[in-house]
Formats: sequence, C-alpha cells, structure tokens
Amino acid sequence: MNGEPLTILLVEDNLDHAELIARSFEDHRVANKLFHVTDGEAALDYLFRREDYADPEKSPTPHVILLDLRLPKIDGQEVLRQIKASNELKQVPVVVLTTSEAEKDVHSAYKNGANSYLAKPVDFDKFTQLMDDLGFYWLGWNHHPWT
Amino acid sequence: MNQNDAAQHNVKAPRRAFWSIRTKLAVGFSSAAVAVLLVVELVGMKGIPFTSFQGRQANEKDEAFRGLSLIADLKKERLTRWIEELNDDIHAYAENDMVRGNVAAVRAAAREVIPRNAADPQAWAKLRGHDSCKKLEQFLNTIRLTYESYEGLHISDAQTGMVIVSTDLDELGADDSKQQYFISSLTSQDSYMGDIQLGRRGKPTFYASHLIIDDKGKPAAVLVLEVLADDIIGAMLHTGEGLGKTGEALLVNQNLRILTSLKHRLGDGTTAKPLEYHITAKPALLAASGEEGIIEAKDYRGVTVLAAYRHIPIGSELGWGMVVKQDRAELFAPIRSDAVNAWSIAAVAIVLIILLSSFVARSLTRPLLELSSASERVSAGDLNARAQVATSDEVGRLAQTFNAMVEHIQGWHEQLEEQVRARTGELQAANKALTEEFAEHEHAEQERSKLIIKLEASNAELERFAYTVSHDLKSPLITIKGFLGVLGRDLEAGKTTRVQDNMARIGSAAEKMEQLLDELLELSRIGRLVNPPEDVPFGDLARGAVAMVSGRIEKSGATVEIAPELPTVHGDRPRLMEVMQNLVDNAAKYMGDQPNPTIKIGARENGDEITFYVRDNGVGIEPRYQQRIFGLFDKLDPKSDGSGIGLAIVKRIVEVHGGRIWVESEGAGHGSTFWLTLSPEKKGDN
Repeated sequence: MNGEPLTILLVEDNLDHAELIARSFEDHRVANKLFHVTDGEAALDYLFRREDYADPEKSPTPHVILLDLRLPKIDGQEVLRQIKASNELKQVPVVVLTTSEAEKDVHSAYKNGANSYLAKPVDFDKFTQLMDDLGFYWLGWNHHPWT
Repeated sequence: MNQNDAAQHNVKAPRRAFWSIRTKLAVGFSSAAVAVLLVVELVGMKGIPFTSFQGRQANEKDEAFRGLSLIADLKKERLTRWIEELNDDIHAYAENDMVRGNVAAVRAAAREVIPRNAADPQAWAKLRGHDSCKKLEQFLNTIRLTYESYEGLHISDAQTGMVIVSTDLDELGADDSKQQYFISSLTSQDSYMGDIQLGRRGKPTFYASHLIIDDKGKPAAVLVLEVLADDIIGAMLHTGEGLGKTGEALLVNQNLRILTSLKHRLGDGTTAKPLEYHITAKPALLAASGEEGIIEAKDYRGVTVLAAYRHIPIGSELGWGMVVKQDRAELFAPIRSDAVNAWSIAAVAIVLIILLSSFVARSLTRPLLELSSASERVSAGDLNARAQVATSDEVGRLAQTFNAMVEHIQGWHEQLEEQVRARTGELQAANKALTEEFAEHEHAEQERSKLIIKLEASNAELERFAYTVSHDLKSPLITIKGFLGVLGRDLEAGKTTRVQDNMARIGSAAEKMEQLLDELLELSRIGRLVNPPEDVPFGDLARGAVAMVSGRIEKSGATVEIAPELPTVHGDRPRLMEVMQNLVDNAAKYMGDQPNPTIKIGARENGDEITFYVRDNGVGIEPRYQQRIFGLFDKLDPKSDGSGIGLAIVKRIVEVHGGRIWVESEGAGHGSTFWLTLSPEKKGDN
C-alpha cells in the first residue's frame, strides 16, 4: 500500500454480485480502481485492448483478475485459457470467483492456469470476509511482476 | 477337382506347342537321315580322315596322275628312242665307206674348183657335176626322202668348215666352222646331238652331226642332220590321245627356254616364241633340272594343272625337260558332274525323308494327340471324354488304361458329388438356423446398446441439470443474502439512501429464483411426452404461435410471412406449439434497429426428412456463439430478460421428437435462421 493505484479487473455477468463485490472493496478501501466487464468477450477485448478498449488509458493491465466462470458469449474457462496462452498476460494473477463448487470446474480452472479458485459464499459475513482477505492477499501481501 | 479349377483349365486353351512330339520326331528323323546322307556323300568325295580311304576326289587325282605319268613315259620313250635311232643312223652314214670315199674326192675337187670365200654359182655347179659329189648328193637326198623327219642334210669340210654337199643348194658354201655341232664333232668320235637352236631358216632346229674321217683316220668332214623342232619333235610330243582339251606336252632345255611352240597363249594373251620364252612354271623347272615325278602346280598361264615331268637325256651332256600336263578343272570335271548328280539325288532323298518322317511321326503321334486331347477334356471337367485310340500298340494300351481310369474317376466323382449335395443341404440348414439365432442375438444386442446410450444421455443430462441448477439457483441466493446483509449494515449505520435499491435487488432476485424454479419444472416435464402424438399441420402451429406472441410482434413492428402450403408433422401438439412460440418470440425480440423487420416461416423437403425454418432479419448471431445458445441458462446478452432456458427447452422438445435443431447466421446484423427437422405425418411414435 504505497499509494500506487492498484487495479482489479472484475469479470462478472451478475450485476448484483458485481455491486456486492464493488461495495466490499469500497468499504475496506482495498482497490484504487475496479474495472468491471459483464461477459467473456468484453474481458478479452479489455485485456487484449481491442474494440472499445483499444485505448491503453481505458484498459490498464490489472494487478489481479477476478473471473466468473459462467459468462455470456465466451465462457470463463475459455477466457482463462486465452489469458494464460498469451505471453504478455499469463503473469497476471487470475482468481476464479464463481458460485460453482463443482469439482469439474475447479479441476479445469487450475488446468487452465488459474492462480486461485474461490467459491462465492452464500453467507453475507463470509462473503465480505472473503472479499476483505482477497484484497489483502492479492493487493497487499502479494508481490506483482510489475509495479 | 472342383468347378473353379476346371474353368481355369478351360481358359488355358490346349494349343499345340510348336515342339510337339510330332515335330520332334519329324525333325529328328529328318536331321539324322540328312546327316547320314551328307556324311556318306562327303566321305565318298573327300575320304575318311586318318584312314587309307581317301575318297573319290583323291582317287580321281591319283588316276589322273597315273594317266599323265603313263603318257609322259610313253612320250619320253618315243623321244629317247627317236634320238637313239638318229644317233645310230648318223653314225652309220658317217662310217659308210661310200660316203667316206666320196667325201675325200669331193674335198679334193672342191679345193680345186671352189675359191676361198667364193660364192660363185658356176664354181658350185662345176663341183656338183663331179661324179663323187653327185653320188653324195643323191645319197643325202635319198636319206631325206626316206626319213621325212629330216629337214636337211649336209656335209662340211673339216678343215674350212664350208658346206660342200647339201640337200639344200642354197646352203652350199655356208660356213659351219662356228657352229657348236661342227666344233664338237671334230673332237669326238661319237655322234653329236645338239641343243635345239635357231636354224638357218629362222626356225627352231635340232642338229645332229658326226665326224667323217679319211683313210688315214684324220677328220675329213662333218655330216650334219637338221630336224625342225616343231614339225618333228613337237609333232611327236603331241601325238596320241589322253590329254583332253587342255592337256599338252612341252619341252624345255636346261636354260628353261621352251623348245617347241606352246598350245596355249600366255597369261597376258601373247604367244610364247620357242627358244625365246623363258618358262618359270614349277613343273618345267623340275623337269629341266633333271628330275622326274608328278606335281599339282600352276603352269605358265597361272592355271592349276596336274603334271608329270620327265628328263630326257640328249647325248652325254645335254638334256631336256618334258612336262605332260592337263588342267585340273578338266580332269576333275567328271567328279564335279558326279558331285552335282550326287547332291541332286541327295536333295530329292532329303525331301523324301522329310515327307516320310513327317508321315511316320504323324501316324505315331495321332493316337498320342487323341489321348492328350481326351485327357485335357477330362482335366477341364468333361468326365464323359474317352480316348478314341484303336491301335494295339503301347499307345493303344495306354489309352485303354486311361479310359478305365476316367471311368473310375467318373464313378467316384458322381459319388462324391452326391455326398457334397447332401452335406451342403445339411450345412445350409444349419447355417440358416445359426443366422436366425445371430439375428435375434444382434437385435437384442442393438436394443441393449440403444438403451445404454439412452440411459447414458439421460444420466449426463441429469448431471448437467443438477450442476446448472445448483449454480443458477445459488446465484440469486447470494444476491438476496448479500443485499440483506448490506441493508442490515446500512440500517445499523443509519444510512437510508440505498435501502430502496437494496430492497429492489432482493425482490428481483427472489422473482428470478421463482422463474427459474418454474422453468426447471417445465424442463423436467419435457422428458416424457405428456400428450399422445398426433398429425399436426405445421401451418396451424405457425399461425398459433404467431397469435400467441402477437404482443411482442406488434411491439417490434415486424411483418410475419407464413408459407401457404406447409406439410403435416406427427407429434405432441402443445409441445410443438411451444417450440414455434419460442422461436417466433426470439425472432421478434432480437430485431435490433431493423427498419423493415420481417419474420418468415417455411419448409423444405430433403428426401424423407422435412426441414422447417423460422427466419428473421434481425441482429443475427455470430458463428462462434451459435452452439452455446441452446445451452441451459446460456444467454448472449446478460441484460436481456428471460432466464436463458427458452432455447434449451426448444432443443429438448425437438430432440424428444427425434428431430434436430440448429441455427444459421452470417453474423451480427445479418439476421438468423433457425432450422428444425420433424417426422412427417403418420410415422409411428418413438
């Protein structure tokens, strides 16, 4: 926390969930900047700076990506595969944050190169606690490959 | 032998090979006979090598040599005798008292009458008028006339060498002193026989001479005898038969000059002159050097001759060579014509032999060929074939054995075929039973695997369903609990600004849950057809669906075109109605900013399958999303209303009816066409 703007890319199609996540981060002042996209295609456009996100000002490379799995247009697993297949993006930590606790999803996420797999807790306190810890861990304790 | 083998044998047509037995026999016999004939002919002609039998050719040659030798010996004998006689004669003349007396008288008279070197005819006439001269002249003339062989005789004075008496008056007074015969006779008591030389008259002349002595035994005169070589000696050589057209006898002296005229012209066409032409042919050479014998060599013309050569001694020193020869070609002419005859006979014999051996070969091989063709027919499967050979020889016996063998084979074959027929029947029956059993078994197996596939599909779907439900039902639950928590905190902190928003979110999440639960119930019901299947005109379905979503269609301002004649399908009417309702609703919902929104419903028949379509010119679907849209709760637009279950339900209904559904779209903005296949009417339930 040295005052540098830390960036999170949130890929989440459920607007209510996105709102909950955003509020948790706001309350705990975890992130300086939260970018939110609602489908897999938009996420890839953002990361690879295509279409609406061609301007690097609008799409800074995030320090961590929070990725839902069930996404419209392009599935979250596919988004994960493409990030990890890219030489520039594969070093960005990707934290899968989804409702699914299915073993199948966990296995394929790690196989596709996920750095962490988190299931959204139904309980509100646990949810806010997770967001809190997540922020501290990935944006506080964790060292990033770039500053 | 089975039928296939027989067929193959038939294909190899029994074309007779070139080297058939018949050809071999004919060629073999002919060759052998011709070879024997040739050997006999050649041996007869040339003799057997390394044996005493030397053949007709050599015999003929020996014969020719014998003939030539005989002739040569005869001629030699005759010449020698003639010379001996001459020798004796001249001796007798010279010793004759009358001659001796008269010679002395003539000499004396001549010394008076004839001046030295005088050619006075009167003086000679005077001398001739002398009695003793007359007598001598008469004597000499008598001899000359008696022995026609003498050309002339004369007597020369021993002292002066002058011819004093002569049968030729022109010769009187001639000088003999330089002549060899004169010189030789003066010193010898014997007759002198000279070599043939050119005589006074320019002809080759043979001189014989003898000294005449006077009373006191001193040389008085020389008696000289002249013989024309060609006329007398040549005639002697050439008389007699046995030398054919080309044969001749010739004489050469020691210097190899020919002494008599030659029968033939020289190789270059000129005629050789006696005493001038120097002969170099080998027979003449050998004869001149004093040898005798026979030889086959080239003569003066270069023609090959057979020759016998003899040496003829003349006096004590001189000798002639005599060659008796005949052209080989002429000598061998009889053999050649013999050979021609022999070869003609041989040719005729060869033709006869070939014809004969062909005939023999044919008659020998005919039964064999018959046997062979019968065996070929049998081997090709015709067991009724028999060899028609009537001869009683070995071939005939072989044919009988063969026929008997075929008879046996035929018997066995028929027996075997009977057995095979019986076995085949049994096998066919067994096979049929087995096939039926297999078919039953296979049918059961198919049923089983169908069932397994169905169960597996159903299992997988259940799994997918459970997963989807847990995920999609959990999602609104998180929202509800989350915003309830937020609401609680806000209220605790006395913040009321977001209460409304929080409450609205909670409410809509609860509604979403309710909707999801309803739709899941609906989906679970689709698995089994609830209404009995019936024939449904597709036009009814299309019109019904359009009527049910007329609200949405009006809102989008779309025009709907339904094809006038649509086929009838077989299925669950309410469910199929649901499919069409969903598709038309979707088409109207995703029209975008299209100024002339149109929805078209129609069908296309491909063989036994009917394909229906619902086509719009709305937003379209990019190819990469075309598979996902049929998934449970999959939506392309998170903000659009609906749970994303509609197309999943559609797909499920179509699949339950045994059909397929897919979408075609060239991408965003190009509209989409949903295709679905359904069973045509009256095709039983599945």
